[in-house]
Amino acid sequence: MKSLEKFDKKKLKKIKPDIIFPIFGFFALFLVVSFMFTLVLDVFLDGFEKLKDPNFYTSFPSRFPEKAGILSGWVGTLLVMGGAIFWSLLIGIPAGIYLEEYAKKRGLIGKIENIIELNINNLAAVPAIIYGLLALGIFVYRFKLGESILTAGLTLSILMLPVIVVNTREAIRRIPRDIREAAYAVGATKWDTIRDHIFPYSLGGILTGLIIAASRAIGETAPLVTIGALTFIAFLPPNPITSDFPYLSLTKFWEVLMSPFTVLPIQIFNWVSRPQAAFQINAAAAGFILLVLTVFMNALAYYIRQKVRRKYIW
Amino acid sequence: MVIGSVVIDNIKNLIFGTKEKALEETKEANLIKSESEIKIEVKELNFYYGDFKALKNINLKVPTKKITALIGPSGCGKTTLLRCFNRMHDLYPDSRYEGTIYFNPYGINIVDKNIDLLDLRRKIGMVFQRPNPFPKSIFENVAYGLKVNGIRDKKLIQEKVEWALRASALWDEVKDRLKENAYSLSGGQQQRLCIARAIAIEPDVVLFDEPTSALDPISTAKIEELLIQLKEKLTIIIVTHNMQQAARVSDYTGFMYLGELIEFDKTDKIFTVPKEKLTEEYITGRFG
Repeated sequence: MKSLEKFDKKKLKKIKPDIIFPIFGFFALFLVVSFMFTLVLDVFLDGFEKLKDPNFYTSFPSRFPEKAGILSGWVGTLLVMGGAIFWSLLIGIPAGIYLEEYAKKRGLIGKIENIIELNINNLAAVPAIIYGLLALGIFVYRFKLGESILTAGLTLSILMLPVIVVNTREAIRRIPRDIREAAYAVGATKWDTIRDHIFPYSLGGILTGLIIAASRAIGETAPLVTIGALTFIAFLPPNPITSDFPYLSLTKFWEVLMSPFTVLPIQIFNWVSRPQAAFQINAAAAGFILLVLTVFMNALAYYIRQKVRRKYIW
Repeated sequence: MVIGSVVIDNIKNLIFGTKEKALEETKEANLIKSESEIKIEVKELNFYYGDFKALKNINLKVPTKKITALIGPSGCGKTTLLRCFNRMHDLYPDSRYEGTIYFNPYGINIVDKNIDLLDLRRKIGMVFQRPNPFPKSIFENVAYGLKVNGIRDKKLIQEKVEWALRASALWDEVKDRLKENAYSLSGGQQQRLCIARAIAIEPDVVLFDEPTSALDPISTAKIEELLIQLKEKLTIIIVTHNMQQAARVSDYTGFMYLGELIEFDKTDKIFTVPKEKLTEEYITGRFG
């Protein structure tokens, strides 16, 4: 009997944390979700008036809050992000593949590669404004690319690169060893294996990483202010698409790359810092659009991940 | 008396004559007669993972168009030896070979640093422990080896894929679904697909690394049947954990222990009258 009592006591003690922790955990979760929910709802309600006005999306910024719109903001954001995605993929994927597939980890080159490897992880933690200063020094002053869409794209791509390299490597590492060996065993070269297997099978992971990096970069303000993004701009870059062959004017395209720009977060900052209450509505509406863009991108990342997971079950 | 001596002579002949014949047979088993019957000859092979000596002074003659099994307890180096034959170790750093592995009739030393690994792996294929088809279509899986070896003629590829799938007893099961993903096949079918992938490029030798360890008994039986059919065309080296499997399918068996080849002989000899005590103990299940 005695031992049984002891046993029961112990059992009781064990149950307590089993009740307390889930309750705490639930409230923690509730807090996180309610922050998010309040933020979205608040921004939506504040900006509702503007959000339902179609002119808001097709007008340039203006001194008059009721006339002001986000046209130059969203066009700028799309162009800058397009550039950033292009550059970060162009550089990030080969860098990740190199580190995973070719890096020797031995000798002098191996040592250099090790240092690079360590630092890529650190690079992701560098504050964005430092990248802005770097870009100002290199792209604007050294290469004279101006305070342009091209510079902004390059700047944000530096910001995104570490995330893309790390994600590329992780996606490659998830490919089982024997798939690789199977390719080599039928006489494939390293390049055959990368082209036919490593790259296609890791593409899902790479794209997920890209979208996560991009949805962070889309809200960046500091580095773009540093390289001289405008806060007020009342014209769009020229349209490079022509009606006749080859449908794309290269000179115009270059003009697009070199044109001054603004982006949504800067537009928001600009409006928030104005004294008129009406501009706060504009800021809230633009903030909601930015949130929608981010959520959309994250949903896309989730979708790709699920689709790839179903395709490659290792 | 005369009749008696004749009878005794006959009896003598009967006893000693057959004994001599039996002795001759054992010799035949130990020494494969002519060079042309030897596909791979391993001489004084040592293999190192970094500082660890995984294979110690291996000497072995693998006969042509026969099934040679490598058995032994876990970690004895049988898979390590198998992976020397197609230089799979070279994919990873810190591996080192010493000695020679002659590959007939090409007259090359497999562990020579300067040989063309792509060419070697084209001639010595491999089937792995876990079925590992590519996450591509059934057709593409078999055609992959052909494609990376520069065959572009679509008709030829189609013919070879069909041939390989027939040879691996899979054609009837998959002929209507060649475009489907290989992952839609069962484990046993996937492993036969991997065999088809390995033989599509018509190698001389196929290495099997415990090919049935992840499969159910029925699939295992199918693969074993297939192995026996395939030896008409190719030389097979199989590593297996399963002694019964070695006894069922192989013509020659090598017993390995702690990185050494303890004994190599005809399979029925190894399993009935092993020369080494260690082999006997392993066969009878006293360790391993």
